[in-house]
Amino acid sequence: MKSKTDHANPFAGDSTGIQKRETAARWALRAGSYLVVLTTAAIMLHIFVKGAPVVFRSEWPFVNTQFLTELPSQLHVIEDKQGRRYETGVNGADAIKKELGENYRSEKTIAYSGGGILGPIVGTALLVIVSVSVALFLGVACAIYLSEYAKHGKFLELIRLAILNLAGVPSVVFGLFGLGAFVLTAPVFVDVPADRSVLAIPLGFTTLSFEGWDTCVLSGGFTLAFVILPVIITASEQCLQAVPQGFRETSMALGATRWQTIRYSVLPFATPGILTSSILGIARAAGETAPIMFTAALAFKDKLPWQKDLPPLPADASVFAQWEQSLQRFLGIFTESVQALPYHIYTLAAKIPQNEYSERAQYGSVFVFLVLVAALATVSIWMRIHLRKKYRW
Amino acid sequence: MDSSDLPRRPELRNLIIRNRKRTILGFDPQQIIKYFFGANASTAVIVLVLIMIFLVREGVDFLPTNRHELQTYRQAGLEFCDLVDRPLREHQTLSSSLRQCVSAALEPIVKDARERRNAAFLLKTQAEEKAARQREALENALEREPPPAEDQLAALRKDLQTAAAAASQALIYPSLFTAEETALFKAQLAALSPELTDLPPFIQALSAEFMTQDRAAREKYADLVTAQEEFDEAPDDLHELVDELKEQALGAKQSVEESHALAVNRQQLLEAAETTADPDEKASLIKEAEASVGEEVDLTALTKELTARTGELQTQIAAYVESAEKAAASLPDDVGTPDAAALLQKAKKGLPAHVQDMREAATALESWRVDKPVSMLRVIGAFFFGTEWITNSSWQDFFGFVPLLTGSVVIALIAVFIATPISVIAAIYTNQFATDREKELIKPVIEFIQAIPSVVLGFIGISLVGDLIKEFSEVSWLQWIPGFPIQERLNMFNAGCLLAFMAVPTMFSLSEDALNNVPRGYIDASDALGATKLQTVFRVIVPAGISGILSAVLLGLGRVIGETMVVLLVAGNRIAIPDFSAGPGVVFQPAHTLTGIIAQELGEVSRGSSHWQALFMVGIVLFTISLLVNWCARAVARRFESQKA
Amino acid sequence: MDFCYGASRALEDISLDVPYHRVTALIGPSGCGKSTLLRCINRMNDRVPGARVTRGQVRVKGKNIHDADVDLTQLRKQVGMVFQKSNPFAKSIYDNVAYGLRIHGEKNKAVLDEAVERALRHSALWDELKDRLGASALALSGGQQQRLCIARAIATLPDVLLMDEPCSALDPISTLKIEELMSQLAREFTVIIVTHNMQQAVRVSDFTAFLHLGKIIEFGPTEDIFTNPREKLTEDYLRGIFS
Repeated sequence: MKSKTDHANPFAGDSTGIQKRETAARWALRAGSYLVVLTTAAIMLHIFVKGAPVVFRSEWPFVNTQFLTELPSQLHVIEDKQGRRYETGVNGADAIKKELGENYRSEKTIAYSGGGILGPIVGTALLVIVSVSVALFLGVACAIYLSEYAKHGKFLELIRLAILNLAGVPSVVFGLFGLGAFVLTAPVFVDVPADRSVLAIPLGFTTLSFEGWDTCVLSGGFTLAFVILPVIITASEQCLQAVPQGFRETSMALGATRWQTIRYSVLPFATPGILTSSILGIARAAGETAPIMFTAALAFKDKLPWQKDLPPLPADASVFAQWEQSLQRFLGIFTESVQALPYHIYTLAAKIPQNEYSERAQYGSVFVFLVLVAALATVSIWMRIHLRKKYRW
Repeated sequence: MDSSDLPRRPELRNLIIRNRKRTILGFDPQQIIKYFFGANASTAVIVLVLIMIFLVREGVDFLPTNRHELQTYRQAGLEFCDLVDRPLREHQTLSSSLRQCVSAALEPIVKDARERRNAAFLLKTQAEEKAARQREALENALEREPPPAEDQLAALRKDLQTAAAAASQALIYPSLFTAEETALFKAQLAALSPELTDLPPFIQALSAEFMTQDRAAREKYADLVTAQEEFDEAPDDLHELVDELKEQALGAKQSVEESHALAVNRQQLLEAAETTADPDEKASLIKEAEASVGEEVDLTALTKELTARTGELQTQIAAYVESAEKAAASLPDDVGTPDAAALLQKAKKGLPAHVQDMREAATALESWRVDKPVSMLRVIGAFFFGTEWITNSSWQDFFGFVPLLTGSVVIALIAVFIATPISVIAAIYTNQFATDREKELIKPVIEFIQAIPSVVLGFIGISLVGDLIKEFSEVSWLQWIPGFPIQERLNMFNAGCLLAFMAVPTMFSLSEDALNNVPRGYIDASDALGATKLQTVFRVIVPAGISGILSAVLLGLGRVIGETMVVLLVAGNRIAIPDFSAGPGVVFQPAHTLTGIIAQELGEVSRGSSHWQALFMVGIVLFTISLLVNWCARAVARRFESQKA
Repeated sequence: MDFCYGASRALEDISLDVPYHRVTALIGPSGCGKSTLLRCINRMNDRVPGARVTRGQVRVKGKNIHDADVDLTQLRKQVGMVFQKSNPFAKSIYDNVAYGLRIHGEKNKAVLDEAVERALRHSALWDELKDRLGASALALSGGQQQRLCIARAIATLPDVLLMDEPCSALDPISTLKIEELMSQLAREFTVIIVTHNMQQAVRVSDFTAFLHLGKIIEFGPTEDIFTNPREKLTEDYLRGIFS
């Protein structure tokens, strides 16, 4: 296009030095990035190597069903005089001792390390269900308001500020809040209000007393709900914003009301995204420990939440009374305190001495926990990528 | 159009109009729906306010409660005792460093003998362990009534002998012993039996050898040894006196507390009597209240008893100071090994200050007044600037939060210091250099880190990272790093590393957003001027995104300070201000944190106690810190936006 | 020369000899490939994945700029560019102008000072701004910002200056100033300008190329093209039949 017959190269670079620096810097940056990836991989590998043997077996059914289906218990290790060791739960210990008789030498007990982790798994599942239901309801409603109704102004700014700050509140402070609000103050219907009741409103047949729910699934679930609320709100709002403005305008132009527009032209397109992001909320809720420490979790419990102890009914009890007991047992899934996986891991890691037996329980629990959480996170990340490809407006 | 449409038109119009008029309780349903969502949206605001309310409700009473406690502390004379007792505690530190100095000085002389003796003891224990079952069997048989037949015993003895012989053969004998010694010892170990009560002669000989060496060494450093012993014993009399006074004060405190509890009880009963309607119940309540009166505690008399002994205390202090100074003066200058010399220097430096403190304590005793009220300012100061967090103490609880804050801040700084370069580098690389394939690897992995529960990371810190760091710190060519080799597996550095890992996702994604937001035109302009990629990145893109990166770092800091489980599990939970005189090595000391203390202690205290309230106060502080960090991050980001506009 | 973005051909059979130290205008309807052609000259298209010259050569100063021994940074140093939307860095005025020299390794303060002053004088900004060189470039008005971008581009003393619709985002007065500037710049630089505005092309350029659908329809002295177009297509375009 522009020519002058001059064959010297006017653009020769004296750039070998620069080139070297460029490459070196690029490698340094790359090394930094891969450091993160490799560290993550190393941690995962460590847990996998140590934890998988606890959960999986080399023979049929390949899974250590005992570990996944039993409640945690004390582990008894009994040694006989030939140096053989027998591991057993609480109930088996006496039988073995009797059988050994003279041959019995010593017994060691290791707290929490026997049995399985069914209790913590169930507890975590219940907590997650309660918290995600509450958080999804509040969060999606809030996101709808922010994205569809709110006009610029002080109120909107206030809400956004609050959400930002809520996201930064330390989880242990949420725990304190849950303790003060749900465990000690939330309203319940009782016949006789307790002394600590903040306010008791007599309603005739019963009393609405602000005396708290005590440590139970409901308290923990609500506390966790507020921990994950900012995540859910932000994610839902993004999904709603991603629905093209044209959809709304078309609907409004056809004479639909605001609500009809949201109901039929916005929500259906945003729902997959909202659900996907809420999976990440589930992972977060399942992983938090500090908020449930004082509101729901127990270090040790030998019953599932619906196996509540109730006075035995007289033989001639009416069907109604039987129903009532069943209902009470069922409601145990909300009103009982539970074991939870993260808290169980904390107990195993902090409260008992390290040895080969406790290590097995620790790595087994961590492995199961991590597999659950990782599965949730992976599904969420994968689905988001997938959805992004599918809905490209 | 179909003509049949025409007549339907008015109906349609009616429908629309009717639709518009429909209301619920006089409200437009659209408005109701809007308010419903608006109300939900305000949850965030309400929750934030509720958090504040509940924290304050449970925590704010801390100030009056603690004020009352401090008042009792003063009135019962505990403070009086502490005037002497506190500076006296320094004696222990000094004494222990002198003791360490002595053993360091003796070390080169006695080392071999001691190691030989210890090795012999260790071998004996190992041999015994290996034959333990046979040994136990024999012991049981010997104790049995009636004693078993002789041939049975002989068989058991034979078992034990075989086992012991096998054990003594299987042991690994260190090169500390010569071949003859090894053979001798081996034979003696093989002959171990429960009937022998004495130690094997070889061990006895080694012990004697060690004792001789030790005596010789002590003679060589006689100056040092006597000075140390003198100093160690110097405060014995003073201690005795202080302990006596302390006991007295504690008694007074107890009676004050009892009478206070009774008074509170009485107050409550009277209040209940006020509100109750039933006259009978009222009477009984009042009666009960009247019964709930303790003896009036005569504090002035009690404290007079204490202050009456001021003179005695001062004499004892003077005596102690004199003997301490004498001991200090008689310390030698030369103590052989450099380790010992360093310890000696430390003690010598600490001594004059300690003596000065004790003298001041003696004068402070006179100016102490029992009836001086404890001001609110003092209580606030004791919380925010107090250097001691002591709970469940039989003496006096103190709630000073400086040690916790220091722990939290140091750990957070370590974490940010590590996480910032890594995340920013990763963000720059991913945003500017990475191929698409690399992006697909790095981004999800980092996003995945966010999903790893913190308790799992804490567990990793206990089970893996702690040991790694400890082993690393024992590598000989790394000894130049301050603080190496480390004492504690669980320390601030360990926690900081794990928190850094946790903070990476936050910092990475926000930094990457900031880089993404750099206007396209900047990059075009820089490229068109012939800048290389690296120049464009570091001279244009990073400076343009710097505020966003800063704000990302701040938010990461907020996350790190608020993190609980990792620090609770990994930071070592020692409630003390780290010893900053150790230089950068301070990071390898254990500490406790604001978040950790709440998680650890709240489950074990009763509601409404001062300890409970103090923990909620810590919660209030944490909450405030998180709001502040958020505000700063926003301010930085906002500056960035206004700059771009 | 042919030029493709992936599979779609953006420029076809382009053959153009840009005269030395003159202003050459590229005109044509939107999407005809003016900007692509301009960006070929300093290889700004390299960044677009799949974009490449498929046939022919681009020669600047007699050198095929796609040769392996061409250093991209050197090429771009000598072929400056000004963009449609003014894009000064969020730095001071001085730092903006000095940026190009600095990245090419110039550290001497005196040299930098001199180059900055010269560039600002050339872009007629010196009198307006000499007292506040430390101020942020973003505080300047739109026209000043664009002239600052020109100053930044000429500070490295390039041989060729590419301008991609430099006035399209500016008000008429600023446009006038920049047009005046261009005729002065032609004394020292070879200027190639893409423009939408035919009047502007008449006012500032010595030569004009008319592009349509990736092909050069006509090229010649501006006066000839506008008063006496050879091609029917050019005439239609100039008369406003399509745009």
